[in-house]
Amino acid sequence: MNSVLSLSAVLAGIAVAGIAVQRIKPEIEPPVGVAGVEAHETNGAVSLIGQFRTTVSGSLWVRSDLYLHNGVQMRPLTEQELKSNVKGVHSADGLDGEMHGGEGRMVTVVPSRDRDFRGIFGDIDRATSSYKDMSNHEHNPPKAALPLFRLMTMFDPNFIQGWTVAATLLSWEKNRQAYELAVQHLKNGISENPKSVLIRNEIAFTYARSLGDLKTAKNYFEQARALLNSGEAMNDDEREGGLLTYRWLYWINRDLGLSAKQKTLISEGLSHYKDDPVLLHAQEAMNIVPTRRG
Amino acid sequence: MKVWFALAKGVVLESLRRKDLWVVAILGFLMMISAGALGFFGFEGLQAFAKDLAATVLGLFSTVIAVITTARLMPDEIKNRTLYPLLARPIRRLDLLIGKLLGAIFVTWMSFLLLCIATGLALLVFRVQFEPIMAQYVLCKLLGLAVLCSLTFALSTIMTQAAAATVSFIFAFGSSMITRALVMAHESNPRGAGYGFKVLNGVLPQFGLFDLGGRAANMNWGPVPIWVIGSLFAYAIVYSSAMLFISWMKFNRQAI
Repeated sequence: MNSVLSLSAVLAGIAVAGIAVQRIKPEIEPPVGVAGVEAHETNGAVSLIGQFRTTVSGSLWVRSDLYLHNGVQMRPLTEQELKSNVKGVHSADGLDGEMHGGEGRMVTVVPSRDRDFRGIFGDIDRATSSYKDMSNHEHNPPKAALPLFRLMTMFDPNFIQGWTVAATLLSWEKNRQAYELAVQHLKNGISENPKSVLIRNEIAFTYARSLGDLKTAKNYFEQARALLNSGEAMNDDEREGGLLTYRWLYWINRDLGLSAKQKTLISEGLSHYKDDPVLLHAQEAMNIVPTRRG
Repeated sequence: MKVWFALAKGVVLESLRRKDLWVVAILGFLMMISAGALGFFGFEGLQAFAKDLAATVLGLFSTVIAVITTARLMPDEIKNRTLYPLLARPIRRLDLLIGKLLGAIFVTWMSFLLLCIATGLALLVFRVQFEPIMAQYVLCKLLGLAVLCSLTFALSTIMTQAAAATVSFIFAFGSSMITRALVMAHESNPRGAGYGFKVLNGVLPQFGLFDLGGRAANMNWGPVPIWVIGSLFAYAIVYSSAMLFISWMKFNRQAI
């Protein structure tokens, strides 16, 4: 009888502790995900399912790069390598620039013979792993990686890069049909992420650069601008994306001949990004007297 | 030779009695179910992903089986006192070690091949076609698993079962990473510690060289040249013999 009572007391204690611990959840969960960790910890979800799906999407993201390089593993140059003038490889089609934010900053994980000290071990490594000389390399057709992006966004609809990079891949054929497909895909992304500046920017880029429709592009940039000014909490990536929103809105208004609007935009943009050289240059060009805010 | 195979047979039978292979069969079944579930969603164009996933899962499970099977062999024999009747027979200690190691390698190979069959069936769901590189992948993996078994076996004669298993896992999953770190360090500073890096790299077990998963999973990679397979075979023989020698040095001096 005593043991039953003790067990009941222990179980009741665990239950009370379990309910009480929920109260500290808001304290330990950040209101905004940390950029860069986003692929793994979207929404700060601590549930098992949440962690599983974001880990899967993060893993698929890494895999997609691998498939585009047909299995050849690449890595960014370290800071020390950059200082030592180690040369990275370039892609012939510019896709590495799209995915990694710059060309010539990547090298193969398995080193080429001239970079390798391992002798015969290195030769065998190059023969058994998926290695080839990647100087001026080309990629597998980007569309081959699309199923992975479909999986990524299916597992984790809040993985923003899954939507934006997939749109770049969708529009790779550079024709109207491809661009419209990319826009449709991004609109699906917005329905899953209604507060995303980055996805709105991507739609606006497609309209402005590829479809030549500045007015629709302006609409989407204005939506992004409204989000930036709404005071909504957002991560660093989204906030940095806002810089492009202001720059592009400035250029589009210039091309549409809306100079009064330009001045407001520059002042507002500088209030968010006070050191941006493009906006500062525009401010100087338009003879705007800087206010205390920017 | 006859003694070696008799001892190896004993290890295989013991493994069957312990139902180790059932675990493998269940893992294989789970793999097929998972593949079936992915196939149910109709993911066209995911063949490379399926092959990549298969190679990763095969590598992971076979490594776990190799280490767990091998690490317990000698410590269990001593702990259960089954070593004494064995040594009471006209068997040299070296023969005992060779027989046990061969048994561990056979059990690991059987498990790996069972998993390969299950994976092959799972890949059929994705309509993945057979390529010669896949046969080379299996062959090289078998050689790599033999090296892993010999390393774990040597460690199990030097340290406790748990420690041997842990250290083996570290080498199995970390040796490629250490090698990459050495290469990167050498690239950043080619003049520094060049000879030391070569020696360290030579001593480290090169498990990564036996893994053709990257080539097998992706498209249009041709088969590996014969000289490479020959070199891997020679390396496996030399490294396994060295590990066996270390085991014998320790076990031969051990008072039982």
